[in-house]
Amino acid sequence: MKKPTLTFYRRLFQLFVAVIFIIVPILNRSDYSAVYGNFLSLHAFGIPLADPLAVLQLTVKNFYLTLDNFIGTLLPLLLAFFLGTVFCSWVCPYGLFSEWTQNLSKRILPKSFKGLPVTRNGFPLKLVVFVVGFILFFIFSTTPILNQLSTAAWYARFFQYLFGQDIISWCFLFLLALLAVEFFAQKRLWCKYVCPQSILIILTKNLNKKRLKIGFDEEKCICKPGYERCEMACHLTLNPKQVNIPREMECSNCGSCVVACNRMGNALSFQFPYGEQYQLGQKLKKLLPGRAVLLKTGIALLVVAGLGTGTYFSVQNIMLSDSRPEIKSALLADKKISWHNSKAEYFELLADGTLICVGGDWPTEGFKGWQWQPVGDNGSFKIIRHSTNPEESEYTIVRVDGKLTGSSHVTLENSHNKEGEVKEVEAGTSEQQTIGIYETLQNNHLEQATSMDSRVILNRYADEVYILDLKVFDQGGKKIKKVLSEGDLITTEGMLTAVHKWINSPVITASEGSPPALPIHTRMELRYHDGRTKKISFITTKSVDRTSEVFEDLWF
Amino acid sequence: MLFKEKFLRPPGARSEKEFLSRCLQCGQCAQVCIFDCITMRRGFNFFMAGTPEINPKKAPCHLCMRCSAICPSDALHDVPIEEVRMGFAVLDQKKCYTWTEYLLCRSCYERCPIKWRAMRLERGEYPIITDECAGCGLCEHVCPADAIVITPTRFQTSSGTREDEA
Repeated sequence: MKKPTLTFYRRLFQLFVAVIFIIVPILNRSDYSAVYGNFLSLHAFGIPLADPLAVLQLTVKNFYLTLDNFIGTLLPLLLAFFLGTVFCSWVCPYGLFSEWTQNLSKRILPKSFKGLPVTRNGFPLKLVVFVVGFILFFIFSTTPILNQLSTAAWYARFFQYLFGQDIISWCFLFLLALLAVEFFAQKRLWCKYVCPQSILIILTKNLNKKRLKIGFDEEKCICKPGYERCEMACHLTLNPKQVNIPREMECSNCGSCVVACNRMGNALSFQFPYGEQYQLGQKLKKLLPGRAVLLKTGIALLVVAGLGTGTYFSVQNIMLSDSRPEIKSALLADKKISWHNSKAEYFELLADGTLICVGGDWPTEGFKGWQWQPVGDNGSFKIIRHSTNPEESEYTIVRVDGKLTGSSHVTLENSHNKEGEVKEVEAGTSEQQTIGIYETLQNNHLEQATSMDSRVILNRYADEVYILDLKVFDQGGKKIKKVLSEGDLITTEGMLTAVHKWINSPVITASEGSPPALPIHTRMELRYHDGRTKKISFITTKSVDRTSEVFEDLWF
Repeated sequence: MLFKEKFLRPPGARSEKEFLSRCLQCGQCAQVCIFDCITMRRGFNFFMAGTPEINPKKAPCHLCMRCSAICPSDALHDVPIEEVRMGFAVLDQKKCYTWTEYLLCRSCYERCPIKWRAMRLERGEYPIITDECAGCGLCEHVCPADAIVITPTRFQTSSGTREDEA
């Protein structure tokens, strides 16, 4: 098998970058990404990157530089300082398309077609574009207009428009026109003569004499004069054999000439920054620690990190397990229970005191957020409903006649506890029911169960008006980002704003004059800021009687 | 330049001239916006292309302030939510369903993120907008009667000039 050449890896990286800028707007649209921006300014995993020219324009105009932009400019400039203008050959998507166009043109068009006979040095013209643009910007415009000449930014912006806003921007026509001109010229005109974005990195790389360069060994060269493979391979129509002339600063270290030369005499090679050619590599090698020292340090660090994380998690586990003592009640712990006329299909009593309501008025995936406690030894228990005010919690006592079995009778007593003061059981709030389901729980719904996040309630008001209420409570505040809801009666999309509570508006009227067809299916999707989504489906089978309530609010 | 149109800038934007001279047109504010309300301007106007705008009719701003936090060049600077003045909501009492006694509607009041401070209900019914309005456009977005229009605080036109209207 042929060993992949440097050009193969370069194409791979260029394609990777080009694809990244297509994927990023799509990811951002689905509300999750760690990368934002285009080639003018970019945040990748918190690291800012910026186009040096764009930042220079802002800085000159405003005499003000933000830290983000400073770091963002420094990184590309440092890259250029050590490795030359590798941005143009390894990153820029326009460079990729331009090179492809040139290759295609050379392959399709007849050999006799020589293209536009321009071989002049491109840097002076670039400088003219740069200076003219800068003066125009400084005197006439308020916007950094040289940004509009960034072909890479236009490429990224096309996808920002397309996937971010569903708009097909016509800017790709501009890029296509440029590529068409370059196709017939067979020269990379824009990169060589116009692109002002490369000015600053070219100037920066010239500051460093010992950067990455192409080196030429005259003794090894075996090509006949006039048939130099390296010159044919160069996309920028340079002569790689003239190493130290001023035109060398146009070279973008793409390595095409080195690859071409490898098949011939191997006369061209990369001179690595501070490498052996510069006599500095030897000195650095002596300064650097040996392989054995590095290995030992690495192992020591790994051991310390492992121990640290281990301790951290074990401490956390101990703290967690201490917080929730298990309730040891053989009759009730890990049981599934329901009685006739209970609002849920059944209740799950978990050993850690969590109560999950499943089905019925609650979502079929389960509804978590309440607690239970055993009362006495015969299987009676207490359901504690915490309201939003922690000092005020309501509870229901499920009192069992005799010992709890699959057919015992239970009495429900509603009561509430306000400010630590226990009130007597209100008259008329107790009712007797028969147990429907009583069995041991195999799989609990704790994982899927929603917390106190959302509710769907069918309210029955006076004059047989049935209204469906969708409620979402943002417990900690600002955790839920979006609420999407749909169902038998609704196709709406609600959103949480800065409030902690969301109730659907406008009002959904299920029916007027007669009871609505039951059950009513409702599906809600909660989207959280941290990327989680929770899908809940509700099956409403009963209505809550509110006919006796008097509303002072004018809304009703 | 050919036609004048008024548009909102994202919250925390500086004055129009300063904003334009700082905006890098990188589109990060539009990408970071989880409500997809910030859009990048397009067109052949080289002075405006790529700068962010908000159209509250399509998607209103929820004042989450992510955009001003991510802006690398400080064109949108961090201000507290209370001090955001993107624009000002103007309520046309002749169109409003509540003011015209057509029906009781509280769409705008229910949605206002700074209820009772930016928008109050006169006599418990009729919405009025106070000076604390941030101009986020939620009310314009939900208004069934199109009675509310957000006017940018700094009436901007596409040519970048300012008309200081009241």
